[in-house]
Amino acid sequence: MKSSLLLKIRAILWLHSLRLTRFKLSFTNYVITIILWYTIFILGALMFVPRKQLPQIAPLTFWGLVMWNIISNSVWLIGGWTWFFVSQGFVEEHMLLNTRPSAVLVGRAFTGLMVSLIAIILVMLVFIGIVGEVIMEIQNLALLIVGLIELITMAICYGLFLAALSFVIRVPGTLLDVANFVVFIIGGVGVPTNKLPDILKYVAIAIPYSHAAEIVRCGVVGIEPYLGLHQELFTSSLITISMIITSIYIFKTIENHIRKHGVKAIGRM
Amino acid sequence: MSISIWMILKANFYSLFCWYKNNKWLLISILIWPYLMSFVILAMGILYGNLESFKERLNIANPVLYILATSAIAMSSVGIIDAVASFTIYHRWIGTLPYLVLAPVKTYKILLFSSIPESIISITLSIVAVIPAVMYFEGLLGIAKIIMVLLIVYMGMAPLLGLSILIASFALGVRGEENIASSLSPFILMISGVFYPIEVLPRVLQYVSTVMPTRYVIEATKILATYAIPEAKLLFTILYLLAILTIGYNSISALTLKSIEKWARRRGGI
Repeated sequence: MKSSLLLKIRAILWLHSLRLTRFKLSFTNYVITIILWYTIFILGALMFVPRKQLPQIAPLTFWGLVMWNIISNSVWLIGGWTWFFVSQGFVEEHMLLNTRPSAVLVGRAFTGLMVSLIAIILVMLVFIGIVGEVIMEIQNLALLIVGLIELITMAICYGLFLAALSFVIRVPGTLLDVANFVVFIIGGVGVPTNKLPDILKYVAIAIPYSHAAEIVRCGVVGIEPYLGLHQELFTSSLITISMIITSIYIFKTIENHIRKHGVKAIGRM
Repeated sequence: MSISIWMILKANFYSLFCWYKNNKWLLISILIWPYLMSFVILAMGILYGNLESFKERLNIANPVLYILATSAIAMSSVGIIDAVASFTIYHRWIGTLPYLVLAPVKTYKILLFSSIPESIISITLSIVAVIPAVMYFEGLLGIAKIIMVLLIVYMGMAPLLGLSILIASFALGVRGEENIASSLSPFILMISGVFYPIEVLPRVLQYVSTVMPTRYVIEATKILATYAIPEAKLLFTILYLLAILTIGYNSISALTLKSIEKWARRRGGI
């Protein structure tokens, strides 16, 4: 029997909401873990900033962390979750039931966004406690929303891409964190591209997230994006569309591959 | 045949050896973790502020040595806590927890001695990993200091193992497959003042941090990063406190685990 797209979306959302409510302790624990790690980094990094400059630097740091949170949640809750998905034999089971594993994994974005939303609100409270309400001031809401939507889409595509790769290669999950850290600093996510050393500016431009991040920062504090607003908007839209097409193509190819050769589980997390 | 402590240690060392042998990327990632953590803190700090402010606020003479050493301590502490606290949940996931609990050796011994190999390897790898960078920035004196940090972290491992077993015993009592232990490592690191002075935390957390072993290990590192040759009295006070915490945590965790295990067996939660 062929089910409609709407029914499939409903089924996937139901599956992940059910998991979320059943694993509420894990969910709460995960959110707390994120907040605590961010607090460690925030407090560490703010020790370098002279007290007088805190109100100017804090919004940039906060939104950098928001974007990092979205990226790393997509990486871990979509790309990293395959460890559980594969070890429980769910890939084969879903395929036998005529459901594509990629559809189930995309649904994990729901869990990821829930975690991000709660974690961001709590991290915001930590920031307000440290520097006051200056981080809530936004210059251009439309740009902020556009930047965030593009960033979320890119992050989901990247998570899906990693999930697909994890079905066929044996790379430990800890390396995903390594990539996250690198992207945070030299990928223009945590720090504006124009603040990076000259050579790293080229690296940042080559990393897709930096363009969406520049738009977000422009929306929040009004910093002119490194390549100019119009060029950044065009580039980031183009990258977002390319990432959607690429991730769909890669997942289809890898699904065909695992039908013939089977699944290899991702290494120890 | 009775199972000796030595057999548990040997089996776990062998298991770890196989993990690393079959997954070299895992080994590499452990070695680069302290560098990544230091890199993020230093890069963010320098791009947004400056090293002078950091030195002034933390009252240390050598920020690079301090950040490298504390990152290594942070990662080794995470390794120790994960080795124990995630042990029960991992075995619950793969379905071997009932066998471990039914084994003819006390669960406390299994939890404690199964995690010692991973803790030792995690500490040694994390600290040894930063030696090249310390050698580059600080020379031979830096290496001597890092070796002292390594010894202090080994001392700090004993109370941390007790604390982790206490958490693992609560995980044993939770029904289902929920991971309730993962927030433990960042919480302990946060209240230990890993990259900032304890004084910036709320007073309640400052009180809680007095019973955290990592706080004293980090304080010892701070002393080593401040003085060329630190006064022995300062370091020995820290070692004395760590010894008290070792006795305290291990006694409490042994008693707690015993009663939770009994309760979980009766309830059928394992």
